[in-house]
Amino acid sequence: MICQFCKKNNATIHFTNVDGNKVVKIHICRSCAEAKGFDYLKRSNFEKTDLLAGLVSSALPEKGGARRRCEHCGRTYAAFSKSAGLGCSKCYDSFGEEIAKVLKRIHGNARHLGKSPRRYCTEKVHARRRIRALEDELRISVELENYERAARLRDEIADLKKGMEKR
Amino acid sequence: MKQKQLQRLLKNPASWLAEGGEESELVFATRVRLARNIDGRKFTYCAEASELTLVRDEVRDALALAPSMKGSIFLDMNDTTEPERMILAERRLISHDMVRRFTNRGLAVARGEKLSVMVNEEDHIRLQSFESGLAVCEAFDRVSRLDDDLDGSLEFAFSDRFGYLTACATNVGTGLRVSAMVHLPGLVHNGDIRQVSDGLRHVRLSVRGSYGEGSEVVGNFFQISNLITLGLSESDTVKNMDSHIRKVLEFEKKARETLLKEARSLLEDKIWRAYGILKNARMLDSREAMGLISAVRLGVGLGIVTDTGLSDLNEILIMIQPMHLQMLYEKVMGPDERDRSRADYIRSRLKAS
Repeated sequence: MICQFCKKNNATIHFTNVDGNKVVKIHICRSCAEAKGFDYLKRSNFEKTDLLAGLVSSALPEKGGARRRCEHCGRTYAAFSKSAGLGCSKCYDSFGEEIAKVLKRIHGNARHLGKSPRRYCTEKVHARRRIRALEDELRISVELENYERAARLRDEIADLKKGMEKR
Repeated sequence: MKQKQLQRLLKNPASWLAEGGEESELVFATRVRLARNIDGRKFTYCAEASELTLVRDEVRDALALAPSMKGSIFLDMNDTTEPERMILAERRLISHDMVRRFTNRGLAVARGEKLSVMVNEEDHIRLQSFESGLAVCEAFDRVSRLDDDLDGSLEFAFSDRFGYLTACATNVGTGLRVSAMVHLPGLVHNGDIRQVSDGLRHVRLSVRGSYGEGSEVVGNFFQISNLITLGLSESDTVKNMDSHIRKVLEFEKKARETLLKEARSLLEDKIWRAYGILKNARMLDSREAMGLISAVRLGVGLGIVTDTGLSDLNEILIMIQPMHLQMLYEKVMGPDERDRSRADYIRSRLKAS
């Protein structure tokens, strides 16, 4: 199909606009699209961005709202909510609880499980993770009324916690 | 020296394309990537040019020390031309975004293109690994080893609570994205593809056209990827992806069997006609070519077409992309001329085999 605008190139972009009750089909080549400033066509990830913006902006910070800023890089919550993009690693602290909410919406979870850099692989970190996992199991055991197992887990957790304090 | 290395890289399609691998009749490739950022440096959204250059140089130096990148080349994107970048993008070594926005970005490629690193794309570091066929574990292990190599010389942004910190909230945690590029003509034909992709979305996987975000489906190639990176460990992500993809492949195989049983002559006719057009056409646009190759690929998978193989077809799929064609014929071509060259190239490849 030939581009409607230059009538020369192959139209590689096709979209349908609904204007009132009229449906307008547009077939356009990339260079005409770029020349005409259909900027969003150049952004390959507009779909993702739009969806995420909705998720992020629905969790506005209580203090400062959209104008809240990361002190380290200056990024505002408003900028974050436009693209789900953060300015620096400190943003994760600056927008702390709001970020946790957003992450929970995106991932269904807000706590990392898995690999960590070597400098984090201390015994203390391992113990803390182990405790977290055991606590989850304990909660489930109680829900299932498996009290024998729950008691064992509770003891194990207590031992681990005592071990951590000694170090 | 560098220019020569780049030319060599561009001229030779990745060696893994011809390797076959498990389920290669249905899976074109497996890709695994890890997103990492350097602690204390602003993410690419906010960083000034000077900071990005620092990151690029730090990463380049760390890569030079990494055992798994021995013999690799590092390309400063500032030194590349747009056509060169377009070829790299057609190879999936860089993102399409990086073709246009390339200043202070970099790319490292290991021998054979199985392992590569994008620098200063959305994240400071994107490690990626390709495997032919379905090989989620292998691809993950390779990329994870490189991650370990770099962990010694670079300090990654990490928090105990949120894991590896990334520029976009969608990647935080493991920073791990597993994708399989799958060929599903059977499911497209019987219409079950819709149900299958709904099912995959239900378990929080994305299904897209094979060129990634926002791209349409051409030639019945789809890309299946995980979306969750937080709260799920790497090993569970790898395990889940492997089993979900295998489930899809099972459905595809059943669809192919049914097709063979119920409409063998029609199917054979369609495949042989497609093969005939590919061997004789004088003009082929890429959409038509992909559709025909899809049919022949199905024919090879079903043992109907035996005088060409998957590795040839895989290589053809890469080489008939617009920029690869222009490199091959060493000239700038408009769409018509490209369609002619595409047909020429395909004819020459299929006759030779």
